Amino acid sequence: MEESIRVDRLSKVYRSRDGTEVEALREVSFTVDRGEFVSIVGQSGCGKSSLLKILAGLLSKTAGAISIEGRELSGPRNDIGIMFQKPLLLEWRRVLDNVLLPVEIYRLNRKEYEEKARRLLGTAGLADFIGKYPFELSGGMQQRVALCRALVAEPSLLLMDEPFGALDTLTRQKMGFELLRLWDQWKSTVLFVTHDVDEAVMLSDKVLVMSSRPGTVLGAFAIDLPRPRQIFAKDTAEFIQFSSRIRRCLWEEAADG
Amino acid sequence: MAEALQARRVLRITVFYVAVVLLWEFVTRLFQVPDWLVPAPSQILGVITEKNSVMLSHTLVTLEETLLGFVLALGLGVACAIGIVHFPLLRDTLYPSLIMFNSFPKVAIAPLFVVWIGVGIESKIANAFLTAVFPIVLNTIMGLTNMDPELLELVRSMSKSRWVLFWKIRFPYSLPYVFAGCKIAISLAVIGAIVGEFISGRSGLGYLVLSANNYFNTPMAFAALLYLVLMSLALYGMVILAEKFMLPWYRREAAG
Repeated sequence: MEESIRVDRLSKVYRSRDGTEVEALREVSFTVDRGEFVSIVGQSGCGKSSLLKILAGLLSKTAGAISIEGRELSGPRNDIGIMFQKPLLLEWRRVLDNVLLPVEIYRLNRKEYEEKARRLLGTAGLADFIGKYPFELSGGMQQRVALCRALVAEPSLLLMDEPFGALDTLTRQKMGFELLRLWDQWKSTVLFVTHDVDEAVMLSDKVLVMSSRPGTVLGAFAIDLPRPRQIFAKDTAEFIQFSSRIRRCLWEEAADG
Repeated sequence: MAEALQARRVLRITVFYVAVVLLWEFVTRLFQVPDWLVPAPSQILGVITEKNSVMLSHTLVTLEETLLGFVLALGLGVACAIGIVHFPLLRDTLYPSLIMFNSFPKVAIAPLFVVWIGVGIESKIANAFLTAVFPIVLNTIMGLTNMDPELLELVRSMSKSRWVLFWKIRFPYSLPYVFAGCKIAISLAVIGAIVGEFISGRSGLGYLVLSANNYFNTPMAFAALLYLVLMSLALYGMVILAEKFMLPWYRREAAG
C-alpha cells in the first residue's frame, strides 16, 4: 500500500503574548495509507483539531515533518478537502454554486466539474435542492452540501473535524453511512476527527487514540470489520470488542491524568 | 388565514389615520384655531391642489440633492470601508478621523460648505453626503470584519489570496450590512439636504418650509412637510425593494 500521509514526530507549542507556552501536540507520529479511512478519537482539548489544521496548512508546526502524497506540506494545497462541524455554506450562493466554490478558487474547468457536482449532490440525495439557498435547507442537508463541496475537486485527502457533531444521533448515523457510500465511489483518503468512539469504529479502517494535553498518540487500532458496513454491525461481538478496547485506552489515560 | 390577518391589519391602520385626520379637522373647526397656528387638513389639502405643480418642482430639487448626496455617500463610504479594512495605514489615520467626525453634529459644518462651494446645489449635495456617509462606512466595516473565523479558515485552506477572500467571501458577506447602512443613510441624506436649503436655499422643500414660515403661511409649510414625508418614505421603500431584489438569499429570521 502506498502512503497518503506521513506525520513524523510532529509537535505544536502555542505561545501566548505573555510568554506562557501551551504544548498542544508532542511528537505525534503516524501514517495513513492511500484510500484508508482513519479516525482520531480523544477528549476535547487533546489537540486533534490543531493536528487537522496543521495538515490543512492553516497552522504552522513547531517541529517535525509532514508529507502528504509524497510532497512536503507547505501551506494550502488543492488536493485536500476539508469539512468542519459547521456547514459554513455561503448564504448568497445556491446549493450548486456552494459546491463549486473550490472549483472556482482552484480555477478548474467549471463545465466539467458542474457535472461532477450534480452527480455528487444526486448521490447525497439533494438532486431536488440544487437551486435552493442554504437557509431553505435543514442542518443535515446543509452538512451534506458541505460534504459535496469538500469532495467536488476530487481531493486525495479529506480532512473532517467532527463533521457530524452538531447533528442529532439518527441524522448523524445516516450521514456516516452516506459518507461511506460516497467514499466508496470517490476513494480518497479520509482523516476523521471525532470524540464518539462508536462512530469512529463504525466508519474506520483504523482508529488512532490521542491523549490530552500534550496530545500524543496512545494507540492505533485496526478495525477489520467487513465492508460495506451496516448499522446492525453495532450489535456484533466484534464491534463491541473494538469499541470497548478503544474506550479502555481512553479511560486509562483519563484516570492517569 | 395569514391574508385575513394582513387585511385586518391594513384596515386597522387605515381606520386609525382617517380617524386622526377627522379629529384634527373637527378640533380646528370647533375651537376656531387660526390657520397660521395649526391649519386644518382641509386647508392643507387646498394648498396642495392649488399649488401642486410648484410643490412638485420643489420636491424634485430636494430629491435630486438627496439622491446625489446618497449615491456619493454609498460609493465613497463603501470604498473607505474597504480601504480601512485592508490597509493598516488607513485604519490608523482615516478611521479615527471618521469616528471623530461622526461624534459631532455634521449640520454645524453646513454654513462652511456655502463659503467653500457656494450657494448652488453643490453645497446641499455635500451636506447630504456628509450626513449620510458615516452609517454606510461603519456598517460596511462591520460587515467586512464581523464574520465566522472558521469560514475564513475554510477559504484559507483553499487559497492564500486576499483577492479571492475579498471577492468570494468578504464582499458578498458584507452586503446586508451595507444595506443596513443605506436604510439609515437615505433618511439622513434627506435631513442633510433640507439643512442645506435652510442655510442658503432658493428652492427645494426645505426652502419652501422656511419661506412659508416667514410669511406665516403655515398651511403651505404643512403641505411642504407632507411632500417631504412622502418623498422620504418613497426613498426608504426603494432601498428596501433594492435589498429584496439584490439579496434574495438574505432572511433576517433565518440568520443566526
